Amino acid sequence: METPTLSAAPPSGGSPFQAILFKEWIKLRFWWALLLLGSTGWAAYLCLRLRHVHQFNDAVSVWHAWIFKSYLFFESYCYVPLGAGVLLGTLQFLPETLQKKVRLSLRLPLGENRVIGCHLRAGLLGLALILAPAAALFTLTASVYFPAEFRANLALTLAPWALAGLAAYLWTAALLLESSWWRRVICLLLGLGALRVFFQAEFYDAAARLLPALTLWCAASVALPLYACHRFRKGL
Amino acid sequence: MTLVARFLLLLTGILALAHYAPAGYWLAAAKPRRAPTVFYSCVEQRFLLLRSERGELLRADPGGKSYTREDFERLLPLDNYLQLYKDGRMPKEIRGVAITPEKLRRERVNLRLKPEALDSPGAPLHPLFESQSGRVRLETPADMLRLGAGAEFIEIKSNAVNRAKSEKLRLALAAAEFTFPVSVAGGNPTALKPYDEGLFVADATGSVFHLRQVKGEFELDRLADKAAPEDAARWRALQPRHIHVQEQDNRELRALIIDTAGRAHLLVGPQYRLVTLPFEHYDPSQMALTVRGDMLNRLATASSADRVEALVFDRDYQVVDRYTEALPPATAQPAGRWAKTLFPFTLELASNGSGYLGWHFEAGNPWAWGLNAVCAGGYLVWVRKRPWNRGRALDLAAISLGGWYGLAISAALPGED
Repeated sequence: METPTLSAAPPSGGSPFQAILFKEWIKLRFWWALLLLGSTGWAAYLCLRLRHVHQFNDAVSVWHAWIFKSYLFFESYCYVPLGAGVLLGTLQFLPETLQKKVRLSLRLPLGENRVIGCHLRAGLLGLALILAPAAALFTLTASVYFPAEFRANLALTLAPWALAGLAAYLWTAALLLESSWWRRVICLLLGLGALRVFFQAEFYDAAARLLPALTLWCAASVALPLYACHRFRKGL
Repeated sequence: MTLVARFLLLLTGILALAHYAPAGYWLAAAKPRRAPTVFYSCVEQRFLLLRSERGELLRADPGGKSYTREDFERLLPLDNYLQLYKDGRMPKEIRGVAITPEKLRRERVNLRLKPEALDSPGAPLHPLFESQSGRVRLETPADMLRLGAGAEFIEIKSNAVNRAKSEKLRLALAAAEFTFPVSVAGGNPTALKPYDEGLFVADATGSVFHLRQVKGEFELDRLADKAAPEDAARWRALQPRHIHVQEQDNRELRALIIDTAGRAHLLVGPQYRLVTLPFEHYDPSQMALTVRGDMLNRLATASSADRVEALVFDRDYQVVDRYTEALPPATAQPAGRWAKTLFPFTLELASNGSGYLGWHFEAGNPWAWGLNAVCAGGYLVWVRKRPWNRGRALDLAAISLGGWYGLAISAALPGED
């Protein structure tokens, strides 16, 4: 892994976010590409499998399996966003905390919240870009074989998985930036307990009524790595 | 930011404990509680009950008298005819009605509606079977009928709208003065049924229509127009919430309709007679409804873990007898009382009354809230010599509302001075 140069100034006079995005890109591009490949590859495999099922089975049975048995054909993708979020969070923040590089970042004249906020934005953008091609592949494939109702079911089924990925990334970042092992363990337990809720639905659309609260919870989770970083800087 | 993070950690911890701690408690403490299965003896014309207690089946009557398995079967010959025929104990006639195996099989009725069926996810796509294809078995159609703001057929193989067929249906609906959008539609989507009843569809005004496909043509009837004059006004007043179709061999019970007021109605016979089930305690969002029938009676039972209510009808759907039993609620049992005291509130995601996940909270009893006050007092004593700040105020609020859940999280993740 290359060691990026830490600089408050962006490479070509851009914003601090661009500078940090560039630094994170240099650091993570290989792993990001691997995660993108893994996510998209698995999604492509599931799309091909749906095509195969459609070709080799009666299309009527395939539709009935969807409508009446909630078989959406993409279920085995459910833990991919979660895994990608955890891995990306670990790859981004583990080197920073192991080698105490985060201390250097916190000395930048941007303020700790802004620095860590830029890191998180870079990570979340990276994660969204990892998941987006899979979502596009699913939507495209679904639109070939199924009507609009299926795509609506699919969106409401994919949404909690994607939110779980984003939340997992933020909680992983918080765990790694946290300096107390005891708090890490408690936060890990809380995160695991909460993330399980994202995978409780057994029928399409079943999680629809949870989504607004889950989205708010994910958005509020941004505060956790910032808080952990604040504690890290104060040496708590 | 610190406060937001602390709030999020406290909220996550309290909700996680409110969800997982009671679940763990009930895994260890729960005892099976099931409503008894209610039967009606056509021999002695009274109710009999099959209870499951401590893993054993108890056969009894409402008075508490127990029966052996053989006696129970003898009193319920129409429910146990296979065993009675095998034993040579089957009567040849009951109450003057000759009994034959063929009639027994044909006249059996069994219909079941679970409460979550009224509030579950589903796509507005329905297979409209060809009711008289001339084939021995029903065949699943190659298209789906989309019912919503309009009505159109989608060819499954090509995933495209069949415009000609959709237009034909549109004209039939317009001729019948059907008002879009569709409010409720009910059909039985399986081909494994004795015949096809088609779809019962309620329009925007609540008028119920019967839609069938017969030899490629659509048959569409407004039930208020087809019903007998004494039923027409009731059909016009009906506002259906859910329509359940489950074809029976004798073609007598055509649908079960739950209206928006929570009443259950049976749709009976070729004249679309509307029979309202006069339950006193039926709550469609919580209770399962079954209708069983034989050559002599119809038995409608509404049951939940807290109550069972049964109505017996003769073959003309006049009420013959009724039975109601309130079962001790879970909170009346020692484990339930302890749970109400131990847990300030519980959070469940799944519910008996819905196929959707949701935030289902249940509060503890006043003792639990008293325990919250004790926890809050203990916390104040604990932090009395430390500087007071907004984080401490947040902890206190969490402990006051979340009781020991809040105390546990505050103690595990102490705030900063």
